[in-house]
Amino acid sequence: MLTIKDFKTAFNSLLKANGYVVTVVLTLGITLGALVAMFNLNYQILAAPLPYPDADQLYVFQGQRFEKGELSFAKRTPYPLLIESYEKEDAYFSQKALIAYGIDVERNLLSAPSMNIGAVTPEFLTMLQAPLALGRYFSADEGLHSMAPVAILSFNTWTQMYQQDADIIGKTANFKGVEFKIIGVLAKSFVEPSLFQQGWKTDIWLPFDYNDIGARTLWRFSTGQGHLVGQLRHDVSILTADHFYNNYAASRFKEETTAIAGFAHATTQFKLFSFKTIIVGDTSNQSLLMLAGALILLVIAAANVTNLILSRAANQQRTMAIQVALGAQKKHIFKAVLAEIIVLMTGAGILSLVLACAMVEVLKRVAKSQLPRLDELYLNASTLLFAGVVALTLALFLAVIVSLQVNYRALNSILQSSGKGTGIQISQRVRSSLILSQIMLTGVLLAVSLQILQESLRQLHQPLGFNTQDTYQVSLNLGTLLENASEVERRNYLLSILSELRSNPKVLDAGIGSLGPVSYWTGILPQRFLATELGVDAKILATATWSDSSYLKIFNIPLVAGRNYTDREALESSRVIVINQTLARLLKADGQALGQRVFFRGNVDQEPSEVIGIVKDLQLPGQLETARFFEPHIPAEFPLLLIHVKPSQQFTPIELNKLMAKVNPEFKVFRFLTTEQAHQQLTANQKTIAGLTAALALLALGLSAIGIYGILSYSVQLRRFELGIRMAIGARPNTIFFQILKDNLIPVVSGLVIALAALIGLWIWIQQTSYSLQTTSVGWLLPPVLIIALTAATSLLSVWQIIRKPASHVLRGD
Amino acid sequence: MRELTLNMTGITKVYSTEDMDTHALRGIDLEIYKGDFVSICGPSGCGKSTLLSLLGLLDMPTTGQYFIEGKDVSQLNLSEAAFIRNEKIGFIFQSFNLIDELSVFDNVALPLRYRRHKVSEKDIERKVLECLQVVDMTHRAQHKPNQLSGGQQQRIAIARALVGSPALLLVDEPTGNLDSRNGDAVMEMLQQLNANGTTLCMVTHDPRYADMASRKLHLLDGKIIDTQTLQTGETLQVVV
Repeated sequence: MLTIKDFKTAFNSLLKANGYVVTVVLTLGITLGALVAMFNLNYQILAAPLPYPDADQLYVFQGQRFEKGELSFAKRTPYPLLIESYEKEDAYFSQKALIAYGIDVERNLLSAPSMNIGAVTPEFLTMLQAPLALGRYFSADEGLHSMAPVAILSFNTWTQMYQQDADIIGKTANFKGVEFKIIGVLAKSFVEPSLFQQGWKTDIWLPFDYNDIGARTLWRFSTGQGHLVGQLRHDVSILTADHFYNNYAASRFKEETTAIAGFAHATTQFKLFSFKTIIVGDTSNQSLLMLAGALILLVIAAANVTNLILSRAANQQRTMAIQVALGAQKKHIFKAVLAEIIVLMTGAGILSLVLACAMVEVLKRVAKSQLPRLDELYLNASTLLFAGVVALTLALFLAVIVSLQVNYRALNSILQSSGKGTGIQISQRVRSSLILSQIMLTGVLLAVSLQILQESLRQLHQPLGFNTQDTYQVSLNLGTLLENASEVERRNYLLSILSELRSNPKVLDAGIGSLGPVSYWTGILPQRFLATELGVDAKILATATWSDSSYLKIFNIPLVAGRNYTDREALESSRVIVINQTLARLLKADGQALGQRVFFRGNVDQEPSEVIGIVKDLQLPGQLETARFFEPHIPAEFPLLLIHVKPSQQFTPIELNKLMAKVNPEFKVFRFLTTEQAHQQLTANQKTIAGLTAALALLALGLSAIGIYGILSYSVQLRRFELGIRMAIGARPNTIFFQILKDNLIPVVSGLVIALAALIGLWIWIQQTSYSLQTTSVGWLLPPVLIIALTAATSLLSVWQIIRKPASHVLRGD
Repeated sequence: MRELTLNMTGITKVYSTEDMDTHALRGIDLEIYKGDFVSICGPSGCGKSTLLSLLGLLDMPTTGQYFIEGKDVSQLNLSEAAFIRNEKIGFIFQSFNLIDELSVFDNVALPLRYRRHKVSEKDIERKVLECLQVVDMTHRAQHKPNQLSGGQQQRIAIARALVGSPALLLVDEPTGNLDSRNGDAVMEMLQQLNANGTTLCMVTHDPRYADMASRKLHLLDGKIIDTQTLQTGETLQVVV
């Protein structure tokens, strides 16, 4: 049993080895911290219960559209099907609720902020038992079809927009001219389930009637904004409920779309997914990969630390020998080693918890739109227990490894040979295995990190194929005009705003479109089916962008054939389109699609549109370019102002609101972004990946440096006397260094060869999967070059203490 | 006129720590001529090993001057000292100090492989075998040191010391790890080498072996307190 005295002795002994302590504590602290943070994340994502009562019984009805048996839309449902399913009485769910997500401009506040809206039926918040800070929930008579103008604020909105006004209840918020009476504020502790998209935070909750889903009566349109959720009864199997609603959705959809052209082979189904499945999505693969990465790092670190500890043990041979001479048994040596390692692990453990907390905070900041449940993430008891168990296991493992390598009998003979024997205690085979595993893991990790990093950097810096400088893409909110003004009136207002903008001295050009080249709303692109022959079932799915003639000019998207459409054609919504090269190749194999006529959905009721121009493909980072077409039309429902300002000129939302107020005060800025900002948002994921992989590569390199140094230092310690002999008979310092380097490079190169084989295997495996990774020669060559350079540097460092001293000191073991 | 191999004037060596200075040598004046066989004796801690380290350029003196064959070697850097040591000095240690991982042949060849000017493998082989023949160990050339007895290991160490044709052979307690029979044999061999013209400087505790030298120095507290010239050196009545 270890005593306080053992720890005191260990502590005092370690005080004299500052460099060793710092290296071991940092190595283990950083890697254990990463593992603890990743365990914490995975526990939260995969194991921690959702913070709602009866959470396992909560399900989302997810609509899926199939065309000829193939999935064409996922996570989208026709609006009427949502309503009917909600209202349908059944024996499966104790309660159901509707929720639709949207964004709208609040008009009572001076800043006219865009707020995230959750339009819900009353059951939603009660089903989750969302805690209230103030007021009450929606009541039953504020449910579907009630049109009750009431609202509940999120805690964040109450804090940021209303400065925690204690008298907020009874005050109003204005959306689209409707005054919503605030009836409640949710508590800070409420964690909203991410059913829509990761990182979405609802600012204000309104009755479901006020959702902004369009085409509410049409079965042929499916919406991704609206969801039906339900609480399954405990006595009902999910399979039964799933089967029932699947059939129900399919039959209702069939009944309603039979008469619609192009829907002959279309079906819609409902699939029931648990809240957890929806919230976690496919992020568990990512988080498990991160956990595996952290585990590999810890294994490398453990190998490194083993070498350092062995090196220290070799240094302490004489002390151990004296202990043995005085009667110490194996267990005494083990206890001394274990006490030292536990002291080190305590330091590393404390550091790891601090770092894990920091990493969790960083994750919350950088990955909130990629990873779920980050709001609930904190170092919980399970994580602390995990950290403790891992640290203790690691300490025992290291102590056992060191003790096994200490040759108790050889210790006896060390004193007899006046400390001049080489006293090899750790077998060459063990050292070689350590070096091989170390170099192999580091090589693989470094190569993979560098390839991913290069790929991310390439995507970040690749030319986009359009101008992002000095351009703004501003979504507009039309307020009550959507209902109270005709499309022609709205269009005229927009044209007036355009002319106001064009006469502004800051502006070079302005236009109107429906979708920026970099869209923040990437999840739901407006896509339509095209066919080249009348009445033929559509096969080509393409992204549609409505705009006037300025779009291609403002973003400098080059035409490769034909012409741009004119403003007149845009005003008249002429039947012409400009397409991108991808669509051109889909329409005609040689890409010469000028003059080609296309029918939307092969609809016989529509005139065909003629291809009058072909533009270059855009190259958005991390995305394969989709088929795109640009159609001359002024979108008067959800318009996007496109503004090209003069160099170094800037626009603000307030300026633009003032300018638009001259035309009609109902026009408000909904979302204000420079194209550069939109690009930054799009590349946020790549940046996170680049940052993480760069950190991983640096960490791998740092660990590798420590590891190689540990191994070499240990080897040199074992060979110290031999090197002294060589020096005594005339070996110069650089001869000794090159001798050590040569000896060290043999296992290092062997490790690299094994790593290369593993990487080739990995690469072949990746080729057979759906993942794609463009490898570069730099990515392949840099890791071995870095590792060999590190070996040279660490060889010099490890032998430095020997070659810088006179030979007599080395022979004496000073 | 006898040729001077080395001379030391006013050599001191101080080992300093934070707490104290230890004066290992306090003004050594010493001349060793070609063909000399000098033995250094004295009690433990008198500075014998330190003096031998300085003579062999394994360490540098704190003050004083040291010349080997007329060249001032008092304050060389580590690399220059290594060159001189390699070309001018041969070492024989008490604990043999052979490298376990190398064969007998490679152990003996080591000084030649460290030469400033590369020695051809053919010359190395010739010289190594010559030296192994001198110590009668040719038949053990491919063995590893740990396959040999203590006496045999010391003979290999002697061969290694001789292979570079050094101007001076430094011998540190050559019989300390050997039984008396093997110790006597090694001393006989050293005496023979001296008789053939090799200059030797030996540290020993054993007065019997010390008297075999042509000159005997007594060290006490870092100083030479007595120099005794022996006419012919005692010969051992043993059969090697």
